[in-house]
Amino acid sequence: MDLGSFFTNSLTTGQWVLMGLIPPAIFALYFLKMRRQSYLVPSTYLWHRAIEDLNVNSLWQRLRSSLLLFLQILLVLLIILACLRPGWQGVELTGERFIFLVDNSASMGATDLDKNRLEVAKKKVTELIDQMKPGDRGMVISFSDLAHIDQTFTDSRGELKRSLETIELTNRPTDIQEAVKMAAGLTNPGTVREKEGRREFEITEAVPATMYIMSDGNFPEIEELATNYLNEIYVPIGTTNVKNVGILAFNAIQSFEKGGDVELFSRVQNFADETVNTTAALYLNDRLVDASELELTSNERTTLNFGIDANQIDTERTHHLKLVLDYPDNFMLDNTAYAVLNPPNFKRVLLVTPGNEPLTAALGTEAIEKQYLLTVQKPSVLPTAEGAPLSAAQKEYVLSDESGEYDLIIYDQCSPLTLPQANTLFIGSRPPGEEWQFEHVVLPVITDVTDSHPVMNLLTLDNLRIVDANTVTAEMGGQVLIDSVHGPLAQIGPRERFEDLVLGFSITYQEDGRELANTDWPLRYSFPLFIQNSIEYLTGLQREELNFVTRTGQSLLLSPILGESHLIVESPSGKKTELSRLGQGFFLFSNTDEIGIYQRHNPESNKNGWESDQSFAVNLFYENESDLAVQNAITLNHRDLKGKEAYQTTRRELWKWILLAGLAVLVLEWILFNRRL
Amino acid sequence: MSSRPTSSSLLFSELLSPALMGKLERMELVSRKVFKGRMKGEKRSKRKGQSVEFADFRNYVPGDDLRFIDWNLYARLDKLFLKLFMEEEDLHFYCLLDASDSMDFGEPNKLLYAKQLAAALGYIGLCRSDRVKIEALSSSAGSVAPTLRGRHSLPKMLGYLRSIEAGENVSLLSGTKSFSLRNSGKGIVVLISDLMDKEGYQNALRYLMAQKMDVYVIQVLSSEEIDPDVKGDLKLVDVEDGGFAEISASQALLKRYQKMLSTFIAEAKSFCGKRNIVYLMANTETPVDELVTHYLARRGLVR
Repeated sequence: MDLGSFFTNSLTTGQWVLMGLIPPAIFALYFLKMRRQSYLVPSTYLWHRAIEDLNVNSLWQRLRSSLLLFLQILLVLLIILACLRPGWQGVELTGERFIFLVDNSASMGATDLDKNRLEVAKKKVTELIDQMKPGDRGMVISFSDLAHIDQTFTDSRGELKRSLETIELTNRPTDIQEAVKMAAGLTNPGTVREKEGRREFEITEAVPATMYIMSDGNFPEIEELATNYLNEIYVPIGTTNVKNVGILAFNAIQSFEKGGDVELFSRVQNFADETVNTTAALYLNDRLVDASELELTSNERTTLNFGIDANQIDTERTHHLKLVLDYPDNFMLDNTAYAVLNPPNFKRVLLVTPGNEPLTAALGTEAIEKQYLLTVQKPSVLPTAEGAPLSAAQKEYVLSDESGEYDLIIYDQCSPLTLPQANTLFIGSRPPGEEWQFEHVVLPVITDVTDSHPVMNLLTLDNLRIVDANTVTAEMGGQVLIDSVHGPLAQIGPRERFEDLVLGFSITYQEDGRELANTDWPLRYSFPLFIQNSIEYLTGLQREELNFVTRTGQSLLLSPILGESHLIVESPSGKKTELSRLGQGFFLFSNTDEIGIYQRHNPESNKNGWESDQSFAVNLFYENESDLAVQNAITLNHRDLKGKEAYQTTRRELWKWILLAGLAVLVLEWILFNRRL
Repeated sequence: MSSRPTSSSLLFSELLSPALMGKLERMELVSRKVFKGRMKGEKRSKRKGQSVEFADFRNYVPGDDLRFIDWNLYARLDKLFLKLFMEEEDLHFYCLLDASDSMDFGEPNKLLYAKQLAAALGYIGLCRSDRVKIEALSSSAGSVAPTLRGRHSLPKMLGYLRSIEAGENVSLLSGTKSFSLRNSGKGIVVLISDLMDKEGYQNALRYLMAQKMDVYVIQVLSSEEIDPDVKGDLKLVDVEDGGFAEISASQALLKRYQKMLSTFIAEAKSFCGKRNIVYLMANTETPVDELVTHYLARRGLVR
């Protein structure tokens, strides 16, 4: 064995000098007899005779009698040996900088190893930290789908261990990319130059570092990463055959076509190598409503469907649904899945029209009535001029506009003085301001429809006949929805956090108190579809998470229910997050770390007198996380990284045993001293 | 050791307990030799005398006391014989106490033990009308011990014993020499000492032998000497001369000490045995009355 690796120097030269002085000091003290106690005896006559023989004996003879001295010397030698930190089978830590990437994603909570995998990973990193030589520097990064630097480069082992201890398990999926990027970036942050006077100093130069990846390896391949100067070592944490049955999907849909019955869909997979019998229990508001026996062979995947009768569902309330697998496996997080049934979130739509029968008919369908609160007003509610006295109806309109009460205002053949605090749909009228320009055309021929846009989805407007129309130009830049030989007939354009859809032609027009058609569009299927698409799009319903189920670590767009500007989300553990509205009138909630049902509260609800009790559910639906079998190799930059068993890199330290032996010597000495052996 | 009673504070009862006195009254000192006494006493003397015990006959010579003629014999043989009787005389009992500093040691104190022993033996003598003289060893004749006789002298004897204090650091030789010069009378001499004299005890005993005395040696040793309780590295200081010995207490050393001690005792025993001296080793742990009534009786000093 190489002696250099057997010992690790842990003291400085000065400390060694001090340590080396101890044994001679003990000898000196012993022979100088500095601490000999006086003891009166009646006569030293016999004593002199007794020690006479001993005195004439050699030094060795003298030493033999003083067992205590030997024990003391032995103790000191053991301590010195311990300070050398002897160990064996230590793969020497190469390089001088170490980066420890510790996976704290959900799968690291599997209990197949010790307490859980994360604790084992931490222990292994601690062992690696212990091997660091003085002057070596280490960095600790924990990662799930996010990476977090727990400790930047430091040579303090204590700090490294302390920050290691702070790493906690998350419920998030795994994506090592960010962590590796971060590690690569922090190791060699480019060539930083600092100007001092006229000379330039290169502050950092590329220094190789060793990166230990402590993970179960269940993450997507990493490609195209600049990991120069990084020597990656993958330490797999976990076992290959782990008992786990997990729910990979769970959703609830209330179908109004079937009279309000709720259909529940779930997907369950057995990840273990053995057949598993279990029970899936469905809870509605914590009350058991259904259960199903399951038998899953190795790696079998199955779908489970449940149904809940409409009479059990109160559409005015939020219902919490929970699916529980009764199977004690090594990973309990994926044994419970949550879903919610929210009361319909009514969108408020204002239609300002002098009268438009096809339009009101299209807005009067059952599907629309279930999701929208439609208000119809005459154009007379719009203020006519700046500063003009307002009628009662006009005052109400201004007020509702300012409070952002409506999600969408449809201006049919009329136009307000200013654009409202809402998304708008202009039909046959030009929005105020210079942003939008109209040019009158007659009998335009539609040439193209931008069906990539959600509003025009599945629409065909071939051979549509239009009498009077205007080409629409959006000065600030909009997206053309309907194009004709003359120019665009419909465009959609952004405005602050809103969007305006401007249709260049009206559907009907009023003449002599009668309503006359301007186009034959209302006679086609595409018209109600267009109306539905556009209000769905403009009220934001399309972009909303309709099913209110998401996965951990994913952000969620929440739409305001009553136009509130703030929202408080309460997590399953009771942690409250206040959100402000983003553009487009949405709230972005990204704090989805916990699994369970999140409650949203409207802080302004007292003002409006209507408490919204909508909820959403966050689940762990990641196959990567539920599949717990540890990967023996990972792919990094198209290179396969074989896992290195940690014990090969672990230096087995002897110093603890030597210290124990030292203690035993001390005890022995004490016994000897007291027993005069 | 600091709590031990100083000599002057000793009660008489501590030197000689009433219970022991009761036992001692029935005992007597025995000499293996028959000595000439000075006064009439209770011991047979070499001299013929006036006791009731018949000793011998001799021819009558004119001038003899007519009262001692054996008339019965004269009637049978028609010759004048004089009846001789044993003369009963007193016994000289000397007790030599070693009062050096080394004796003032141990728990129980060796000197106190020696005093108790001397008091017990002295009381036996007093009860039997012997001439009792208890003396501390000293080089000079400065403190002459009283010669005592009769039971009424008990307080005097105890008073003297009480006045003896440690610190008379004379060698055994000079002490016995001084004693021998001053006391020429024949009798029993009991030397109570620890014999721990760096100059040796042999010559001192030879001096006593030369006096033709019946010599008894009682070596008093404390348990601290017999089984020393020492630990660690020590500097042993001699209480008498202040000399020191540096030791590191170890099992080996203690064994060696024990060996030395037993050798020392054996030497003393054999030295005494060769010279018809009765030797007795007394551990201070042994009660005085037990020592007197058992050990000394067995050795023939008392009866």
